[in-house]
Amino acid sequence: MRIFKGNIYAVIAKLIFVTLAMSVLGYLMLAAFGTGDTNIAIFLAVCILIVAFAYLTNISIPLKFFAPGIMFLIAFVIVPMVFTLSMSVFKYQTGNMLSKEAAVATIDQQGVTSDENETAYDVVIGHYGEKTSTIAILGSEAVEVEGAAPGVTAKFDTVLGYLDGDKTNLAVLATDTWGDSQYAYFLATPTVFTPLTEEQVTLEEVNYSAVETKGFTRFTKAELSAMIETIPGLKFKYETRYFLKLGAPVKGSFEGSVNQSMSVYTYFISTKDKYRIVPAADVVKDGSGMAIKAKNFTKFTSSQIAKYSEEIGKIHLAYKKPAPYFIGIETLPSPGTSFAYSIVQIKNIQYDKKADTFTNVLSGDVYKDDGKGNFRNIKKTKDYLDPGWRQGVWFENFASLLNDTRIRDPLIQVFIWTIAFAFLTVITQFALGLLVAIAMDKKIRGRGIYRSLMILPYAMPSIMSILIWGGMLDTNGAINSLFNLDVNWLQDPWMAKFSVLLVNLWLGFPYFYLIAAGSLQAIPKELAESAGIDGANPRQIFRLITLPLLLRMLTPLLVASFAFNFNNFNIIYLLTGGGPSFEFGSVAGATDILISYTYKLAFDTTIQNYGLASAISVVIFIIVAGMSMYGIRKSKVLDDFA
Amino acid sequence: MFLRWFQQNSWRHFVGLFGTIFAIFPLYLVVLASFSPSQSLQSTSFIPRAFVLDNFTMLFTDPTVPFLLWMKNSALIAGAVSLLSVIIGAASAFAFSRLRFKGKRVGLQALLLVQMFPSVLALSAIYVIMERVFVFAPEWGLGTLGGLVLVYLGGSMGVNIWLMKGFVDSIPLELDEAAKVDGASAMQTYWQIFVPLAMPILSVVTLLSFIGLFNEFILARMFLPETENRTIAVGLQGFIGGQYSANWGPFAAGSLLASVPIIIVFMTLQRYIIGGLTAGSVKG
Repeated sequence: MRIFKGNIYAVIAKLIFVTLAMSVLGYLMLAAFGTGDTNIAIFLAVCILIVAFAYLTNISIPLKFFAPGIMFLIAFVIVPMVFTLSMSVFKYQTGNMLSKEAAVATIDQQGVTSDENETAYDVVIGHYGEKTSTIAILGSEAVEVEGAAPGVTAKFDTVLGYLDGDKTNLAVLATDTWGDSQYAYFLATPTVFTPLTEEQVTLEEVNYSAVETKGFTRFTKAELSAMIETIPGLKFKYETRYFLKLGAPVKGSFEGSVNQSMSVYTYFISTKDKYRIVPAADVVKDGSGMAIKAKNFTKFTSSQIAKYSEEIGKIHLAYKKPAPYFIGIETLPSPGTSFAYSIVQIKNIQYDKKADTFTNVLSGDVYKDDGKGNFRNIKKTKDYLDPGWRQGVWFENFASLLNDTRIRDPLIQVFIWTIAFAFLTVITQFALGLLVAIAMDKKIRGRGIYRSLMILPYAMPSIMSILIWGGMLDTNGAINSLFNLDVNWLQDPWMAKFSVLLVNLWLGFPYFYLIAAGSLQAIPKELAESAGIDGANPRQIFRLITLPLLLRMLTPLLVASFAFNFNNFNIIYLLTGGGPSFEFGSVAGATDILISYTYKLAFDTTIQNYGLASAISVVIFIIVAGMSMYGIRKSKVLDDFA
Repeated sequence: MFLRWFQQNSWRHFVGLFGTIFAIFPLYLVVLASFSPSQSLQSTSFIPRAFVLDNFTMLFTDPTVPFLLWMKNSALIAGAVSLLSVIIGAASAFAFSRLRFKGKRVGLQALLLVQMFPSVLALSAIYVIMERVFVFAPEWGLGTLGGLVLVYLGGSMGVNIWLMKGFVDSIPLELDEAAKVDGASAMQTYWQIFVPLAMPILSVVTLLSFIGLFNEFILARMFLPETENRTIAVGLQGFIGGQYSANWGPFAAGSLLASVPIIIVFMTLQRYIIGGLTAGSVKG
């Protein structure tokens, strides 16, 4: 007779659940495809197939039970694990985090330098012609022009010399022979203009021009003829805005004329591919003479600028000098202003796709893929380009664990302490737990109270207790102040080790007390009784009967506890942070165990080394897995399935 | 008479007293600190000098310290994950324990291996994955409670399946064989025989994993940086943030409030929990 029958409600419930699950997965899959996360989308598609396969067909009954668990396990445990493990064969650290394509793109984008004169313009951003996508800038370039100062017709008779005996400290002494200006005499250097009176100068006898004054020495004829070519370029200060230029020499003196320099704007529109000079007639200028509008050029509105801002930030606009020169826009116009700030740059680092090299066009240096994740200068090998990329380096990370003394030495110390820590933890926890269990293995008065209070450390969330212990053991903490001690519990290497073990004993002994108490109950009382009849004393009974039986029962738990403490990250990280450091600045510290050291290598230092951390992870994984497999073999859990 | 009693029992009391003092000493200090007006753990006396509730009121009134929100986050996350992971994991545990299929031994060994991998080390990979998930499903990605639930679910799967398989093994096989004879399919055996029988065990595993998740720190800290999203462990750690004796008063008060429910549940159910602790790994 069949007691169990298919139930219509069960079938309906199943259908609802399966449909729901598939539609949620399907929705997520489409969303993932939409944002280009193809790997995730494919994984979700596979999940949908598994769900359909498992629950809508009867092909595999175990799969019906496994499907949800397996999907979670793969997504959040196996994939990250494989990713992490595979990182161990890569050079993957700060400076080498990107893929090679991304690194090339970044180097290419950053490979610019400003031009020799650091030319910069205030420009208007807009577009050229009809299409808004043809981004262009309208710029005004100031050119300094020299010309006769308007309204100043005076000419001066000047002699060239120097001040205070210093021949580089040029000066002219000038005489207004014709009385055209208000200055009869003056002394001028390139920066200082000093009017003089007749009393301050000594006049030459022939044409009454000044030739001497205090501190001024006239150049000799020979000196003048040596510097004759530079004389037309000299400028001497005249009044505040103008300057004096010297004309052709006449009998050792020069005719000085008053000039001014003016900035005259020339205008240009630059797009990606062309630099166009715009005649002044085609532009509209603002009060200072800078162009704000021009023919064929339309200024962007602020919303257009916002729309194209990313492109504007990257664009290379043509400059009057050919490539590698270009104009880049540095800052967008601030609200309410018209002008953006742009600078002329040189694309000095250039990528050759075919050869896979970068060349510095200014210095001629060539950078080649060094096979280790960087473009390196082929001549000066210490010079390389930043950033690098994740490069497969096979077993280099593992080799450096053995060869590189900076990595190997702390690692060995950390490894030894990891084993010692896990071993001592298990021993102390088990010993104290067993002692308490044996003491409580008799109905004494107050046993219930003892028991409830002693398991409190186990019931309390461990994260809180670890932090509290940290505070208590601080040099200014409760323990030192209550007992009037001055012990450096957490900063002295040996005391820190002791503290970690002490706190871990506190955390773990109740567990072993409970376990051991349970196991003691399970040992048949008859054994001890018959041994007693045979004349064994209590000590012998414990040593020869109880303890061996207990150990046999609890070995798998002891191994499990060892494995757990081998990777007991929280207590180390939250109590001492692995410290104190072996030496100033080193990552590893006296209480670091492998896992906390690895975590710090990967996440807590300025140079994060994922590759090395992954290599150590692999080692940890192998050790722990080996230990556990051994423990499991020993307890024969898996034998049932042979 | 008394001497004899002393000889037989005094050492037991001595051990009991020693263990008790060792066990409750830090907890006593926490209670002391939580009612103390001073902000440090630097008490100089075992006897309280003052008794104030400032630290507790601060937790409930200071808007920069959303204590209740943190508790709610922790309860939500740990609750959802422990329930779901047991529901999902129990099915797999049942299959591993009861069904016959190809690759069972390999599967079990693989599960054991995977479970050995410390999740702290896979942080960066998880981070990268969830960062991407955030882009297309903002409710389930990095920085969301939902995302953390997913990550925890995945992470707890290995341990839970393994633990529950141990329990399931201890349920007599005769029962499902009888059901099979009566024509039950695997599904029916699971729902109508196994689940009711295993209910107490499943509750214990739920509870254990709840407590375990309540204690999780590193993933939660990395995953939920926003103040209002934090779990209680991360939130309270912020009070003392690395340099000890900073804000011990509120920290002690908060830890006390957060721990009391857990301690009560643990104490009430300790008989079952302890049974659960051993059954998973010890056979016979």
